[in-house]
Amino acid sequence: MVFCNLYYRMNKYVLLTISLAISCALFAQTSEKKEDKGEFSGNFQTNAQFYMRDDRIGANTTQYLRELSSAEAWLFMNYKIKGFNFSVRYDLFNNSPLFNPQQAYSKSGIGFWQVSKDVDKFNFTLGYFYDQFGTGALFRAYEDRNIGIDFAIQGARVIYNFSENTRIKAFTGQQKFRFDIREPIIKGANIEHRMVFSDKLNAELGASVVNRTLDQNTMSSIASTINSYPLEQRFDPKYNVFGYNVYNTLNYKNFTWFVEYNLKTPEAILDYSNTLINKPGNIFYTSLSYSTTGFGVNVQFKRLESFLLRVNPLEIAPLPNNGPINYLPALTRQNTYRLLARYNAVVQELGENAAQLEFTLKPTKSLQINLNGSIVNTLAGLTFADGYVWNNQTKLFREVYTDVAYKFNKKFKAMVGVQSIGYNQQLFEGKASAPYVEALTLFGEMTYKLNTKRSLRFEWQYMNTEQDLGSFVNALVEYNVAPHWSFSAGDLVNFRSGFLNKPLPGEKFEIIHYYNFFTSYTYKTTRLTAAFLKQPQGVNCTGGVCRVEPAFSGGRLTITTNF
Amino acid sequence: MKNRILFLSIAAFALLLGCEEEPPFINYDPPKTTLDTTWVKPTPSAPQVKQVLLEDVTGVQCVNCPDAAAIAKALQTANPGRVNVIGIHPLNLLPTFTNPINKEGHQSRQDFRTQAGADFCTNILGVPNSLPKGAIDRVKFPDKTDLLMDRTDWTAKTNAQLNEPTPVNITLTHIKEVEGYPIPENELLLEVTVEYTQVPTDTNKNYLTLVLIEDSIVDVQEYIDYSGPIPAPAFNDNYMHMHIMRACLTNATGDLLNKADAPIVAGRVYKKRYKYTFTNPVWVKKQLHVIGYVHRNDTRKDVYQSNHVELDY
Repeated sequence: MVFCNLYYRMNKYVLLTISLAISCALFAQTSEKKEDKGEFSGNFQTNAQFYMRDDRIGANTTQYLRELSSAEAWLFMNYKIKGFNFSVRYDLFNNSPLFNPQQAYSKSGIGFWQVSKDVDKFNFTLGYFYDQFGTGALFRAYEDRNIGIDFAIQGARVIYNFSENTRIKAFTGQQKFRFDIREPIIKGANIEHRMVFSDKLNAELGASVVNRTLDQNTMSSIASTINSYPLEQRFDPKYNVFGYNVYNTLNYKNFTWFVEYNLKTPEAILDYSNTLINKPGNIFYTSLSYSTTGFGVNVQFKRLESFLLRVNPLEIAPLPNNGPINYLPALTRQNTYRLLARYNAVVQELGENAAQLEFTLKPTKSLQINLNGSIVNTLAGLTFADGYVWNNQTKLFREVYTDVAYKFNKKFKAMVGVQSIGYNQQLFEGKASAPYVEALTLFGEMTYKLNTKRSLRFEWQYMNTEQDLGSFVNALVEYNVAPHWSFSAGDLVNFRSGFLNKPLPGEKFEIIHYYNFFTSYTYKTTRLTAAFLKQPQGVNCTGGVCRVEPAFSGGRLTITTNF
Repeated sequence: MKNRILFLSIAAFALLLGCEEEPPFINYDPPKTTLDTTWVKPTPSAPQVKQVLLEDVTGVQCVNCPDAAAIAKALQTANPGRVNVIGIHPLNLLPTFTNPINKEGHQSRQDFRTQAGADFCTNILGVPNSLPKGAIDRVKFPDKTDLLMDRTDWTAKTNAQLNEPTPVNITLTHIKEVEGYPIPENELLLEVTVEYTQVPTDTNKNYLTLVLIEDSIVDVQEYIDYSGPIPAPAFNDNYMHMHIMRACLTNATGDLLNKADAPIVAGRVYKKRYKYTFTNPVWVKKQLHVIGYVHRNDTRKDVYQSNHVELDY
């Protein structure tokens, strides 16, 4: 019955894909030679969440009030034979908050299908595909299912491996939107060429062009919006926007220098007041790194101006619903510890300057020191006329970070560090009255191996701030039994109020605990996890892509497996 | 081979950049309103009886268009005062159907085509492949692929829309004098009152469009003559053209009603006055009327309510 439901949901293209795959499989099995039976692989992931309302932390979205539980699942299957590659993925969302934390979304069906074939130096792909040009600043079609992102392109793509060092690819298609596609057409081409001058010197050059053409419906909405503006603000919007980039990685001995420039033609974009303006955009990005035994350094700089490149310029919904064609991660450190990752810079597509400097020192086998500093300000914060300006009008984000790790012996190692953060909550989270957050966090970790299979890990962070929700302390104990089990218990405590949760006059601030209990079981390629946790509202980032999420309170179960 | 592919790749890049595009309609004319105000009534009025808008995209060389006009007329007769028809002759679109006639000794005396009509098609209704086509309340019906439908669909869809409630009332008034001073004969002053009796189910922006219509124009029209043994195209030099769209008093895509400082709530009233100066002496003012309608203009274009007023000349 389940299979029948699934079968009838498939569209004709998917049926064709699977028919071809089955035909090929049968052919492979009945072939006299029986040389190539193909290769079948896949993976499965499911998340289930159970919600326990907690008004104190703001865990009271629709799932807490009505649905009480939600689930997502993805089954991906791939079959390779004779240069063909057939893929199909079944997606399921039941009352899911993934796309919009304020709503419950339910639908299931074929979320991805693809047929590709290698012919000599060509590769042809039809259906959905993920891809990117260069760093992705101009074009990136990607999936990050844990924050609801699936920006696959449905269309056709050709890759031509011109030579060992040269590759050209081109595509045309439409961006996926849940189980549908968005109307505008996206097309692009990219060429990459590697030049080897000597053993010590080589360069990797690339160039791309991307074009997005709006559909009539979208343009009608844009034209209507513009026609409602005062006369002096009206302009002729463009159906087509073109983006170009060139980039190069130069490797010389231990040095690597990357430089990239992206440019887009004028189009209607929304400014901070959600008013359409007609502006071109550009991004300049460069990084220089040097590494040798025991020492590494990396410095990066990015200047971004009006580089909103979306399927539809009118999309103002937050990620993942605003349909970006490109990928603009923040040029700041990606932290993993819970409190260190509480404040993340959200890239300002309308304009920002960002710089990061990172050192890694390893003077002995037992000692490692990491230093990191990053800074982000508005375009007005760095100009030829005024130089560098850091004030209330320009500052967006600042982080200074250091950690020192020491391995005392084979059984015991420890790490301590400190992080200082400056964070423009007003802009990054859209909280109008929120002051600039200044937070100082001390942290550490200790790992002790009880024997060859069992280990104990303890981590802690202490964050002090007077803004946002105030100060927190977090501690977690983890007990691992290799290779199957892992258990942890922790508590994140909001022990002092901040600007946004100040108690009313005459009332006393009540300490809030965000408990966290977790266990996982791994067997071969399958992993099961169960957790009961509370987590505060904030910006959640994965892979450098961030979105604002409400608080969570409840249980989480996950299963992942590969086959 | 390699060089050829590289050359083709570069040529494809170049092709992407080579062409200039035609922008959508953006109105750079100064506002035509002489009054623009809004307020909220404590008690909303009762909803008006629903009126349906039929936009008939037509042409003088379109042989089936008289048949479509007859269907529109029948709908108006069957539902007195509840069906507003706009006959759109789009300029520079479908020229084989819409260009004035000058063949076989027959010549159009007037040119009914308007740029506003073309803007309606390119920006809202869609450009059809053939004529006649019509949109009913600009609704994209689930069983249809486009807003513009064949005339065989008009009756059923109009009857369906007549049964829909309307969340908004619209009233049009021809103002003849202001504070005792008469409006000049060559000017039209029209007052429009839009009142929301309830908030529409969607919360998108709403627009007002006003269209000047002329009836009873005698001019040549192609049609199919069924009187002979074989139906054949023919010319009627004395065909009575009805509901010809002469001008659009607002933006072709509508004027925004609910600006940021005046959101739609039950009882919200928007009052506007539009001034229009007549410059074409061929138009017969006694045959003019104005149709006004409130509609969406985002991914959907649905008309919530329409109404009309005969001009008092």
